[in-house]
Amino acid sequence: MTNINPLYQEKLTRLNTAFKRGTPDRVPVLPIIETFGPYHAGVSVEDAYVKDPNILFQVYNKINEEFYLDGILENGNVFPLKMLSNFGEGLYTLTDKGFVIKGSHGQTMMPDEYEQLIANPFNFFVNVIIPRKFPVLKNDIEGNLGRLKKAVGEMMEFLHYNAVVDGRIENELGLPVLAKGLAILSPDMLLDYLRDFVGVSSDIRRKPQEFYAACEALFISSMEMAIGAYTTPEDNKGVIFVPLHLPTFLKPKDFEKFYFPFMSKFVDEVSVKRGYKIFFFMENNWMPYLDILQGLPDGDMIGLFEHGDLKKIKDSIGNKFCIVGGMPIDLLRLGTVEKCLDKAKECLQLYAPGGNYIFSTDKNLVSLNDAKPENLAAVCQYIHENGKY
Amino acid sequence: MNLDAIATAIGELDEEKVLSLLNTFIQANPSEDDAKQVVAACQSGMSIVGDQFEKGEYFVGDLIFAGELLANAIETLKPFLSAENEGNRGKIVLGTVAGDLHDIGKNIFRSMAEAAGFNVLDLGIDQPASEFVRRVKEVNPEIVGMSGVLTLALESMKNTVDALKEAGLRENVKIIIGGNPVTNNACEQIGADAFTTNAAEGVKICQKWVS
Repeated sequence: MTNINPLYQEKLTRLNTAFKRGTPDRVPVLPIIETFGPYHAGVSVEDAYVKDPNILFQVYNKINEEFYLDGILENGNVFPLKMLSNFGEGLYTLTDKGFVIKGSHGQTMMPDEYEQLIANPFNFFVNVIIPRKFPVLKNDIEGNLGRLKKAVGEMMEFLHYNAVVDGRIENELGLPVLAKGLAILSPDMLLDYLRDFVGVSSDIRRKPQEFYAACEALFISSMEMAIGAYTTPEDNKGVIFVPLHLPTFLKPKDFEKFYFPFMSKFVDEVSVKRGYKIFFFMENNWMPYLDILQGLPDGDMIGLFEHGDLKKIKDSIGNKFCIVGGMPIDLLRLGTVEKCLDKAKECLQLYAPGGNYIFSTDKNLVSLNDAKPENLAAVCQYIHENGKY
Repeated sequence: MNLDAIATAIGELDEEKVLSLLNTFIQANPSEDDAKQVVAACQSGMSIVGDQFEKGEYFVGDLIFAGELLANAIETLKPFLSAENEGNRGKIVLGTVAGDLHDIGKNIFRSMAEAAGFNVLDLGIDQPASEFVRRVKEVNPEIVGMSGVLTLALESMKNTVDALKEAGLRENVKIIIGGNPVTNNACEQIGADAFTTNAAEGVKICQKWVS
């Protein structure tokens, strides 16, 4: 369906120009607003994400009225909670503060199971990991068919819910919703779904070959995750969102050996060969890895950088990445409007020259206290008004 | 027994070497005093790890592995140590604050603090202010350590400090906060005495407090 809202076209063009490392008419404004949205609108997260799509749409309507935005990355409703509830508790829980991941309880695979995983990842997940993670599936086999049917229905409901909300945000508010797909790179699959931090930290020392081979075996799944959900990259309406978890836990030498090959291959397969734009959430501090990133293929990559010197990052890898970030949420949370505006001004001076820059927060806005609304409103407006090229 | 070799092997995260040195050592059925010396050597190995981290040679994954390595080493030595071989540098009540379920940073800090001779009471994850207050009353520690990864942890840290104040316990303890979202600004607002995003540095701060 064609979006005829002129604002949508204007904002999407602005973002796409920056994504292609070019100079748009203005610096695009793209703070990462997740569960901050419902809290700010005074509605419960559960109502917004589960009860009624209209509630979630109204959240963004309010956000859009109060803060100048050129788009949103996604609407914050990222876990199909109702579907997952069929299988007992998963790795994520929804508390009154939003989604919370359980730390270091994600070790579902034992170190001696690498061989099975490598031999056939799909079978291994279906026959070993899923029943282990969701014991109800092996304790009540008769109920499984009904459970799965119900889950499929609820997954479709979840996708429909988001499609309705995102469609309205794009058509009625004129705001591009950028993340059309999500992928987890294969070393992060081992970290997030199978071995957790303690496991991975030990495996790359005790079983380096097995770890590498498992990353190779899971690569196709990580790629299919990306391109399965979003099949029309040529429409230029969105990006594949890829949060990077493991890299900055590794020393650069280990990153280069165990992670970079799969990141590089992913960029080659997904962006260079298939034309997707990849939005990497570069968690933590990437300064020690910049030289290695220079070795990535020339695809369309966008990087939201959490820590580090963004000016140096742009100088170093601005030829590869569209640079996103600059606004510390620590300042939005605790600072005055004046202090925040000083920082916004600095963002324009340091990062905007030459284009290829998108103004954003350095972290997701999750809880209400992550930003004083007046601070967020002031910096978004300032960048939009003063970020004219 | 070559104590330096053990410290170096831990410092270099050379698991094979650590295990082979320790196995040779326990085969000789050592006395408790000897075993204690080996524990001390393992602890100085951990401070080499901490130094390497501060120099930027080691990263968080290395610290996690160092924690594993140390725990295995102590496990091997346990049969030769008496039960009350507790730390003597001081007591730390440690926990991840309410609303946050992350524990990697907390666990790294715990293993490094224990290696440095602290007696650490780890409350676990998602701990409400009341639990910190209850356990501080109970064990009377020199130091309280609060950990968190989510930005909302900052709010819980402030609530916990406020609760300690209300209970009249704040003046008796030093408070250190750690984790991805902590900053100098946040530390001041929370009312902690120190903050760090670096477990090795955190342990050094604690050592200064009790020296």
